[in-house]
This record gives sequence, structure tokens and C-alpha cells, in this order.
Amino acid sequence: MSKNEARLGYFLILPTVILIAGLILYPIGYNLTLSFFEVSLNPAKGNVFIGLQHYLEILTDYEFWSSFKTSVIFTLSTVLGTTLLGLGVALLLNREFKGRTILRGMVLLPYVTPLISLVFGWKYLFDPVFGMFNYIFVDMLNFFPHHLNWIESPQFAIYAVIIFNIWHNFPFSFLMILAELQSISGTLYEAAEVDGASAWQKFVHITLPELKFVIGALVILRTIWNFYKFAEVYLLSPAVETLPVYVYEKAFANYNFGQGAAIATILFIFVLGFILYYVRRVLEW
Amino acid sequence: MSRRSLLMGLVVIMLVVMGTVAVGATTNIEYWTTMTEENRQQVIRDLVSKFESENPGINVEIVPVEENDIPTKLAAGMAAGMLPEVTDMGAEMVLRLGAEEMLDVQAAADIINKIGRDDFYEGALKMLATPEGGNFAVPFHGWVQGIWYRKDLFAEKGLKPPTTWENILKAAKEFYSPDEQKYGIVIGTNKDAFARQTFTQYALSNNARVFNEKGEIVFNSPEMVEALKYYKELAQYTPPGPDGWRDSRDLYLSGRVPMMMYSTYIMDDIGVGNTDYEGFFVEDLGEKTALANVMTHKSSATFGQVSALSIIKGNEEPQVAAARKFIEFMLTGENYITYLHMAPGGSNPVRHSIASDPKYLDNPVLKVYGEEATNIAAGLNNIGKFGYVGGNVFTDMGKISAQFIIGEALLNMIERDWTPEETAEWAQEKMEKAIQ
Repeated sequence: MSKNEARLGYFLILPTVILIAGLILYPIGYNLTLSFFEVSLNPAKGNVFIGLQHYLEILTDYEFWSSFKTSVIFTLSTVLGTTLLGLGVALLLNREFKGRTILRGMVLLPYVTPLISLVFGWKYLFDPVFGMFNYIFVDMLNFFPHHLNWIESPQFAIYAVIIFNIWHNFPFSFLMILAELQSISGTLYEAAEVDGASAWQKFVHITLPELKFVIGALVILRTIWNFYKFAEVYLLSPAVETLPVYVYEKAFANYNFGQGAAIATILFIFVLGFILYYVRRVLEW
Repeated sequence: MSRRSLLMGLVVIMLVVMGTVAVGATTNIEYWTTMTEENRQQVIRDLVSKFESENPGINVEIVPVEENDIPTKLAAGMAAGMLPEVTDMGAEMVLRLGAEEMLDVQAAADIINKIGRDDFYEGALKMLATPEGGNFAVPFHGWVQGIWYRKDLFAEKGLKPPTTWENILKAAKEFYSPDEQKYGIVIGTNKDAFARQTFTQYALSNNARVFNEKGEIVFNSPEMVEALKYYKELAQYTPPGPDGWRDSRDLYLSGRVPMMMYSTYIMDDIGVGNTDYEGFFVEDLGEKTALANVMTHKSSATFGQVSALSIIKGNEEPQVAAARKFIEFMLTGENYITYLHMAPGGSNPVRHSIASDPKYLDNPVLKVYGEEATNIAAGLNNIGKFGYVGGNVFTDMGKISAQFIIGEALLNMIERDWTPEETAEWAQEKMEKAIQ
């Protein structure tokens, strides 16, 4: 009886195991294999084994390191930005006031609107000739002497992409932090008040420690997401060469799938290392 | 439900699925086209249904692909082993695939001979020539590029048509007035195909080449540096930031620039207002517009593109046969004219007999341009391009254009203020790496 039941148990989890193996283990294995080959475009021609050559080429490629730098800047600033903005807005909207529910809903809008319409909206808003931003800040208020292309010009592009990402993604942090804020017991604050704590002391000694884990989780998730962020960056301005854009150009525009796979492996190892360190040292899990 | 009935159910579902797959005995072919605009898609869909009703058993699936996405889509298709049977794409992409031995050269030769080799423009066939003397694909249609300009405004200011470097620069300076958001000219300055296309004409008119006759990269030649220098100077009079084809079209139609570079595809936008641009539109723009398609400096240069229908190798025999039929269908008589009329003036015929066919010329847009329309089509015979030097074809050009190296170089030079010399060296190095 129990043996039969155990067999049925395995049978029932089999689909999940196959699904996970197929969707996670197989691609990782396939990617790893590709990274050791010179991959041919023509299916009729075979792939050539070249060992670690791709890895050597990448690690000595100047463009790889410059994209790496761009990616680190992009990830650091957006993680910091989305978390702080999300925290600030959550604290504000946690207070009682009229119209709070509507405002909370509205804050979520940037996060729930489809990416492509946001991108076109922004591009139009900051268009160098027809855009509203230039009209208001150059023509009406004279803040700047000339119309500028705020999104596509290489000197502004990285800031445009960072600001766009923060604006687009902060509602997620806001939502998570707000949920946690509401679960903090009011008695803690009452006790602190009795002891004569100031608002700042209450924030530092009660709110922040209570939020530690949710903020920790948000930081790690956002880091993983943004380190690999492709669509937002590429759609808004391909001139910002972050690592995923670099991989895309190597693998597809250059038809160099082997090298693309090698870069993906390097990124994987890097992010895995970061997560392990972060989880042990910062979150102390 | 017992385990047995669950298993039985699964088996039944499997059988049903396999059965439906086996029943359909039609031949499916996939057709990739860069005509992504909705109204053009409609014309293509109509042609395809006509073809399908004339050829029962063949099913054509139309896949619209954005021009800049072709390299990536094809690469993904190749990796997955799911390539289309027929593609309509520019000569560079054809050469790129041809170099990978992906194209059915024999099928292309058969179709060209069947329709009549002499009836095709010599220039169009040359664009698709294999190094061995055959053709990678069947020429389908083509466009010619040039500077479209406002002849009324040029006459007002007493300026000469923008056919030489001096005239272009002088006019651009004259009209540049950024405080009113009016600019001198729009040329390609972004990391895309458009920038390579507009720049080619300046480079070729200065005898600057990407390849020498031996096929070595010579992008850092003094002639190229000169062309880059001129392009950078001219770019001062363009709208702020990088520009692409959409900026060119929108700014010209709205009267913000008196000159812009564009292909013949602008003809129906201007001529009959058939455009998806929405906004202020200059009145009677068709009558006020002229085209300078030959640029002269050290020599004269015309630039354009020939699109071709290719048959991809490695498909099943019935599919190849269906693909041949489909290509012949598209290139014959009324079907061909219907196709060309979906973007009149933009897509020009590559067959003599069609270019002079009264049925072809009977179109509102082509009538606006009158005789010039025929001249423009004939311009297809004299196109100069980077991949073709002294009768040799360098298929490696396809790799360089797929990576937008020229566009990226121009973007860096203009927006990051690199010197022309630095830019040329940077591109030289990047191109050498790309064709390794």
C-alpha cells in the first residue's frame, strides 16, 4: 500500500520535475555547451569545439568591461532609486488622509502600463522638436538655451534610462513596503512615545528594523532583474550599452552565439556570487 | 477517477493530436516581408489569397519583419532550424546569407531565366551577383535615395539645387534656425541602417570605399576621413540629437526642414498624402518638392537598394517548388503591378517591360511625378554601393551592415564629438574584427 502510494507520489510530481528540468536545467546546460563552441549559422555545417577561447576573448575585450561598468552604474542607481522612492512614497501614503485609496491606486500606474506604450510616450514627451518637455523648459521657461534630444543623445541617454527605470519600477517597492508597514503593530509606536522618542527615532528604531527583510528582499530582486534588464534599456535608447545589450549584439547582430553564451555564463557566475554573499552577510539568513 | 482511466484519457488525447497533424497534406511556405505597414500588408494578403486560390494545396504564411530586425530574426531562425522558404529583403542581407551558403542559387537562376534575363535591369542583377557569376536571388523591386528639397524655398533664397557638397552645405546653413525649431537638413546620424544609407552617397561621391579591389578594409583612407569630416560639418545643421528615417519624414512633411534624405518611398507621402504621419502638413507639398538623386563631388554617386526574393536552402522539395511558383506569380504581369502600386514610386520595377507598361504608369502618384518617375526607376541601373568594387562583390559587407558599424561610428563622431580620424580608425578596427 505505502509503496504503491509512494510510486503514485513520484508519478504525480513527475510533470513538475520534467518542467523544471526542461525549462531551467536544459537551457543552462545547453548555454554552457554552446560557450565552448564556434557556433555555425548554417545548420548543415557543424559547430567547432574551441575550448575556453571565447572566455579569454571576452575577458580581454575592452567593450565588455565598459559595458560591465555601465551595467553596474545602471543597477546600483536604479536599485537605490526604486527602493528609496518606494520607501518614501509608502511612508507618506501610510498616513491617514482623504483620497488615500485613489492615490495609492494611481501610484501603481507606471508599473502596470505596458512597457512599449510608456517608451513611446516618453520618446514623444522628450522629442527634440515636437516634445512637450522642450516646449515648457526651453521655449516657455528658458531654462536651457536650445532644444535637446533628452533621450537619444549619448550624453543624456544613460540618465534617461535610469530615471525611466526608477519611475517605472518604484511602485513595486512601494507596494511591498506598504504591505509590511501596515503589519507593524501600533503598540510599538505607543510604547516609544511613552518613552519620549522623536519621529526620527521611531523611524530608525522601529520602522526600519521591521522593514529590514522586505527591503532586503526588494534589493536582491531588483538587482537580479535590473542587472539583466534588456527591453527597457534597448527600447528607450540602444546607445546605452549595458551587458545584456552587449550580449544581444554579440549573439544576434554579430551572429556569434558561442561568444554570447560565454558572456551569459560569466554574468551568471557573477550574479550567483553576489547573491550568495548578499544573502549570508547582509541578510544573515 | 482511477489511475487507469487517467492514463487512457492521456493516450486518447495524444492520438487525436497526432491524427490532426497527419491529415493536413498541404504544402506550407513562409514568406518574410519588410513591408510591415498595415495598408501594404493588406495588398500582400490579397495577392497571397489570389495565389492560394490559383494553387490549391499551397499555403503561404506572411511574416512581416521590421527591416532593422532582419539580422536578429534570421539568426534566431537559423539557430532554431525554422527558416522561412521565401524572403523579400535588401541586397546586403541577400549577400550575407549567400555567403553562408544559405540560398538556393540554382532556383534563383531558373526563375530569372524563365521570366527572361534580358528583361531585368542589368544593375539590379549585378547587386545580387554571386562571386562565380550567378545570382543569389531574384530581383524584385528597388528604391533610389536622394535629397528631397523644397524648390519653392530654394528659389526664394536664390539657392542652387543640392547636388554638390558646396550647394548642400550652403543651403543647410541658410535655413538653419534652431530658435524657431527649423533646421537645415536631416541626414542619418543614429546607430541604424538609415545612417549607413545616407552616408554612402557622400562617401562614394568622394571616391571613398569600404573595400579596396582586393577586398581589404580601407575605411581609414584619406578620402573616407574627408567624407566623415564633411558629414560632421553638415550634421551641425540637423535637429538636436541622433536622427533616423522617421525624423527625416516627419520634419519635412511638417515644414521644419527644407531638405532631407530619403528614399523614393516618400513619393506617396508627399504626392497624395498617403502617410501614417499625423500632424501639421505643408500644403501642396508635391508641387513644391524636387529630388536630387545624384550627388557630385569628386565623382557622381547614386544610392539605392534592390530588394530580392530569395529561396532559402535546406527546405523540402515540395516547398521549394511551391516557393518557385510563388516568386514567379509575384513577378508576373498584373500581380507585379498590384504589388508595385502599393507604394507607388517607392517600389520601382526591376523589369524593363513593366517599367514602360501603361498599366503600371496609370497611377495617381506616378502621374504627379510624370516623366521623372521613369527616370527615377532607371536610376536603379546606376546604383553604387560599398559592397561592390570594380565588378567584384564583397559579401562581407553584409556583416558590417548587420552590426550597424557605420551608423554607430557616425553617432559617435557627431554626438560624442570624435574627430573624423579617430572615427575612421575606430570603424576600421571594428570592421576588421567583424569580417574575421
